[in-house]
Amino acid sequence: MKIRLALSLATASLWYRRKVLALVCLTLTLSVTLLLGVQYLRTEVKQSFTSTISDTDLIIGARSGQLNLLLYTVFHMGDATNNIRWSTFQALEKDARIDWLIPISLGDSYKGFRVVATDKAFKEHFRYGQGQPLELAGGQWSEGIFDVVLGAGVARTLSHQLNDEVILSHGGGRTSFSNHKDTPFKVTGILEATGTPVDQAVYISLQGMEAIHVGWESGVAIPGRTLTPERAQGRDLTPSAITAVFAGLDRKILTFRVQRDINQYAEEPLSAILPGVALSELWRLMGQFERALLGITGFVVVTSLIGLIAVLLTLQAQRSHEIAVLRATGASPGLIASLYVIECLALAVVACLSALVLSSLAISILGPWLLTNYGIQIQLRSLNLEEWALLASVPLAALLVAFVPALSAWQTSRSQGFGSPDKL
Amino acid sequence: MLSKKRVVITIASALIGSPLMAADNPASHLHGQANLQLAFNDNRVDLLFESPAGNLLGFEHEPRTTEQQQTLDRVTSWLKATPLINTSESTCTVEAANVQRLGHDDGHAHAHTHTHGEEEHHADIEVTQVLVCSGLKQAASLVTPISTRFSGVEHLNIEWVGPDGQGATRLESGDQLFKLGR
Repeated sequence: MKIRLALSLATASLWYRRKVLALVCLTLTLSVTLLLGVQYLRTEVKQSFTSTISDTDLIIGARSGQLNLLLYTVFHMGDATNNIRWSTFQALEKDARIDWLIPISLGDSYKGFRVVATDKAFKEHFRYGQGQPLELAGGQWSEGIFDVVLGAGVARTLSHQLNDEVILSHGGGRTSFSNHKDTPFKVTGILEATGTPVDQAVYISLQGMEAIHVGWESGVAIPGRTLTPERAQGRDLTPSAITAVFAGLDRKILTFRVQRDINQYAEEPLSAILPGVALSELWRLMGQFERALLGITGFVVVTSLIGLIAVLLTLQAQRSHEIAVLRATGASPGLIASLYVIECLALAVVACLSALVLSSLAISILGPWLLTNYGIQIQLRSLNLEEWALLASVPLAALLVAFVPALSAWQTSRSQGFGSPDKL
Repeated sequence: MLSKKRVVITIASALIGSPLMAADNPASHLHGQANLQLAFNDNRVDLLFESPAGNLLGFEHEPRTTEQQQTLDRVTSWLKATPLINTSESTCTVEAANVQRLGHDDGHAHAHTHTHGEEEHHADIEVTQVLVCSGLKQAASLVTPISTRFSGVEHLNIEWVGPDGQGATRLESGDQLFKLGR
């Protein structure tokens, strides 16, 4: 009965002061949203980083360190030390353990964005995130030698549309004076945003890459020796070398064995790396960043909880009149103390629930916009155990805080001498 | 006629480009460090563990005393019989195991330099195991007895491949547990 009385009194009191309490609740909600947001960002950045490439079992390139190979093939950072021969690629194609291969050839750029030459296998087998394939936002994949498909970021930054003409630059510089002017490309497709480095690259065919370099053997175009789009048709444009190969295996359990065989390939010095392993190592190197975000989360937790305490204590200080009336009408000190506890707890729980709703809404509304405009992939997901614990710490802290005014109210009530303290 | 300089360059580039170089890089050998590679498929684990012999035995040369021979025998039989990874409920059993001691002919081809006075022979120990572990699919983390059993293994690099993707971690001396999340 006492609990029911306490609840009905607390509800009436909360409703009476609803305007002030709504503001308090808003402050708390924003604090908890910030707390959840930072924690979410911390885990999501890692997730987004490790989702850069998926389902590819091995990346094969010229002999080098695994981070270097990963950086230039997947993140488009740095350069290849050497190329690998086309004959090596053909030999890999014959290996029965390998299910598919994506050849890639790098070296040119378009206004600072990397040009990646590849073949049909790229659209069929390249996966990112949780095994998502690449989708086109418009147009179609390259069919002709001089067709180009743009990453979402490239199309957005340079405001390109389908059927635009683009002239690629020789080499990797942002500003290049040696352009492949004789062989312009036509934009036939624009990729959907992925939130990965795929968005920041330009995709052409291996034949296209070969064609634009005919007559460039000395590093610059020799007039009269370069190809025109017409002369390129019907010519054998099989590359003699490529930069790297992405490989998928039939049986994942053989990955290390195939890696070892490739690393000991007698015809050419090769390195085969496991992208998932290399990503883990890279993330370990960048662990400082994660620790910094963890530190920020810690500060946010402490600040939010101190804010919560300050707000709740201020709120209680204003209730002396109400409490005196309750005491005068016969409310026991225990009942008055319980009113404080119920109020704090109710405020904290409402704030947490509102923060959950607010965060979910913000992520589901801002997620697609962030991906399209900034290439940042943030997806709505359920909270993990750590985050539930973090969220639960707020009502728990509120409960502890509530005991301070509750105890002082209990003591004051007893000293005022109304009612019967013995009934507690 | 080819000039002398061009001949030298041609020979040098022929040597540099020799395909033999590709396969002939000796494996790195770093004392205190060991590598463990795991490939999962359902409840089966294919495992390869490589470590400089010194980490496990305390010496890398051929056993010279009875005591050293006993150490080698003891470590070899332990490596053959003990699953090098296990679930937290210890459900793994060894189906097949092989322990090999691989010598390095070239004492200079290391990731580090030595200043030993006497002639030094380096050797690696390579262990392959096939394990069957019930409940492996549900396991979010695994344990390894390596870094607690061998104090010489200061850093244990673990790489794995499974149906849920690939991952890697590094255990320091005394660590047993590692999470399989990326």
